[in-house]
Amino acid sequence: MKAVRAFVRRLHGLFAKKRLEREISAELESHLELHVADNLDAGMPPQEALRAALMKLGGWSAAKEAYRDRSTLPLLENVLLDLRFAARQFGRNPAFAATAVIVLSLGICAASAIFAFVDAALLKPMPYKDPARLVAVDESSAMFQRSNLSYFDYLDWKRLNKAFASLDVYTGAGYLLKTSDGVKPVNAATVSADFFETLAITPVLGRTFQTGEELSSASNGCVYLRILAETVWRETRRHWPHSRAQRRTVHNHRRAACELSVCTARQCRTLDTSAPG
Amino acid sequence: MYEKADVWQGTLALMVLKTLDSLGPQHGYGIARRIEQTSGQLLSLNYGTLYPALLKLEQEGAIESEWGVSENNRKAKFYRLTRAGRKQLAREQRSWEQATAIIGRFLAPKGEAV
Repeated sequence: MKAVRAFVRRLHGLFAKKRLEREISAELESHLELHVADNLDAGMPPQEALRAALMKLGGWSAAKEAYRDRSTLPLLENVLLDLRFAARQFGRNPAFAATAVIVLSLGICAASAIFAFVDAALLKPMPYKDPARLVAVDESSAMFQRSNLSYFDYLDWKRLNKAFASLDVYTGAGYLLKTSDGVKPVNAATVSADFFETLAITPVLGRTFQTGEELSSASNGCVYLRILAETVWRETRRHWPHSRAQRRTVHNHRRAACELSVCTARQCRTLDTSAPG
Repeated sequence: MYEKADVWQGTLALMVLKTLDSLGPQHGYGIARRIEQTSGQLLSLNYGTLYPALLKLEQEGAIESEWGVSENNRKAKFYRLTRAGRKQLAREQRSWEQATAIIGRFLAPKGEAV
């Protein structure tokens, strides 16, 4: 606590230079006067008295400097002096100063942007379990290294699969979502049944798809099996009970099972923005 | 005979506080003379180092200062102890006495029970 108080006083001393200078000089002068007076009383000649007093003080400038250093923050003072000097130099060479500033800011901005991008894309691990074991499998043709895969080819691959612990497929989709502010487009993905198990994502609410569900649902006439990202769920949760009731009354000869599952926003966001296979 | 020793930084603060406690308000020169006197002339004090130490004590709130007139009608800056300074003095005096007691036991002549 004492140290903080002392620091604040010294900081204050940075801005009261003239007054401090006067006070220091006055106090050291009075000290010398008292000492010289004592020396004269002791019988020393005047020159000798003054010399002895100065020597005992350790030298006039040294004493003054030590006193002054304690009353401000010498480090900060030096920094301020350097800054003032730099400002003066810039004033003399405005063209150089402007060039330097522009080049530095361009460099710093570019470096920050690149780092932010690399950090987000490459350095931050994906929010899946064991991301090092996730691989993307593509069909390749003469024209395209990574070309589209037909669903039935995928089914064959899955049947013949011996290399991978699990093999799932996804493709991009888009929907119009009714929110309180109107209708807005949302990104989506159409995925195979074990997709979430492969990525080891568990939903916050509800459950993920089950194998074979797409076949049974088609026969029941149900087409709406969805897993929502948390942000989307929050925006539209008001509508869900309402639309479920609506569907039931309008299409009452079909059972429209609107399963509601929610996974965390970040995981689904990564899903949505990835390139379709 | 004893050599004149140099004064340590930390103990200088303690000596200043004790001097002000004994003498009452005093100017820098008076404090310096008194310290030398109390030590039996065994301490060689560089008067120039006293003023930064006084300033440090003032910044920490242990002493306060004001300009006054000395015995021989000269202008001088007088220092006196504050309440916080008194507490600090008591505290440091206690810890010094403890330290010297402990060391004294180690340095006690052989044959005495420890």
